[in-house]
Amino acid sequence: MARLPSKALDAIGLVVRLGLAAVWLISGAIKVADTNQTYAAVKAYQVLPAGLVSPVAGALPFVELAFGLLVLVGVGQRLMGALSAVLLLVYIAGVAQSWARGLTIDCGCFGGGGQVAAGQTQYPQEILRDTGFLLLALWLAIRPRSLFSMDGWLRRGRQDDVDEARSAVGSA
Amino acid sequence: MIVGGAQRNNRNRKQRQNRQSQNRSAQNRPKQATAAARSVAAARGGKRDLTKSIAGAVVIVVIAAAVVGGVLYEKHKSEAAAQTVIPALTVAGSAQVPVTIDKTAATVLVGKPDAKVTVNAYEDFECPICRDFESANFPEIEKQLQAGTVKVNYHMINLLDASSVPAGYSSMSANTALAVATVAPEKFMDFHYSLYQKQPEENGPGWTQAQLTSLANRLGVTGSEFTSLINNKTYFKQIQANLDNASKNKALFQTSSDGSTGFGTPTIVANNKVVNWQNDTTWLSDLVKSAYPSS
Repeated sequence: MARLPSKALDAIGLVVRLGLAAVWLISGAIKVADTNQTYAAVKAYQVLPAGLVSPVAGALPFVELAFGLLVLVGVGQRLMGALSAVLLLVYIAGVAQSWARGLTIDCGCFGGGGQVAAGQTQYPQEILRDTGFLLLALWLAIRPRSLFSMDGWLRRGRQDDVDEARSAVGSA
Repeated sequence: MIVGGAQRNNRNRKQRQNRQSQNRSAQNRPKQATAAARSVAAARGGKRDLTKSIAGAVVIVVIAAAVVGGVLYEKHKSEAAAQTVIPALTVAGSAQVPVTIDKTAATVLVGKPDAKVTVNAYEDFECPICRDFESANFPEIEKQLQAGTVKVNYHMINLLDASSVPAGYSSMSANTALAVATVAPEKFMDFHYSLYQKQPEENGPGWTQAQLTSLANRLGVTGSEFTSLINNKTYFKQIQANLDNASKNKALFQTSSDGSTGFGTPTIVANNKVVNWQNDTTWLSDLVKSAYPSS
């Protein structure tokens, strides 16, 4: 079986990581900039009970920014890949249920959101786009190593110990 | 092939064991050295767990901070809104313009009865475009009202009831404005003007009834009749009926930018025609000119 050298896979991992970080940072920043619009977008899905719309709409933009930041620095990459995948699956489910129930809303994925005219919905495109992002998240969850990550930096500390252990064994 | 973490661990362990046994057989390594290597290896495993723990802790702390920060920010926003005092503004000369409330229709007619130009304004106190309409047209409207050339019939409706947190600001503010017009007609324009000058954000926390009542009080509208109109939500039903009727009245429909046609706010009707006030900025003075050719 042909196999890319590990260094090349790490480089692809970096590109995947930066892509996913950009998705979270951009969508989070747009939502933070207009929290009222985010509220309207969350409410339009008609999933959450009235009392939960406000805290969820308040927390979501910051959570997305936090995801973006953590993925960008590359800390806990397998965990972040998995968490990103979970959140994206929630989004995809939200869009899918709106489609299935015949709601006419904009997903509010990157700003906007809320009710739109009947002919203006873009559910297939929205789901397709989120699925693309989901693939990035799954890559990180399955193969979390990438270049220039904080995980790598933490691991390098451990690598020094390995070398020490080797020399300790050798010299003793 | 992608090697998983567990497999990698196993592989490393095997290599380590091989190395140790080779060392032992080839060089007959003393027992202490093996013990040392073992303890280093154990420490190494501990370090690996520690690395994972650090990463996990960083992830949890950052996400928890984001959740808490976001919820607190949202809470702060609604608290800040609840503490806002809506400035009580007065419209100079408006007390001279007659104001008549039609309690059954829940509409307020402002202007001299013999004014030749009749404008019907369908507005929602929550609606930002209504605010735009007011700031662009209020000076001219007020001028014509005082000149006695124009009368305006205000239909305050609740199209955007769902766009405030909690829902219902549109109904509440319209009811309060109608209560003001019932108790103190001469204060209606002041109240209407003040409320558009300090509009709550759409999809944000609306002003509370206490804030609306406070505005009316500071404009000098008080008393038990006013209080009961507020507490009994006297005009709520008719406000809703007015919205329902307007939404079905094709004569009021407009085509919006996305191509859909329907009723929206604001809708301004003059001489039974919907006014395109956004493109036609001189619509009111033109109407006055054709109604009063000599002046």
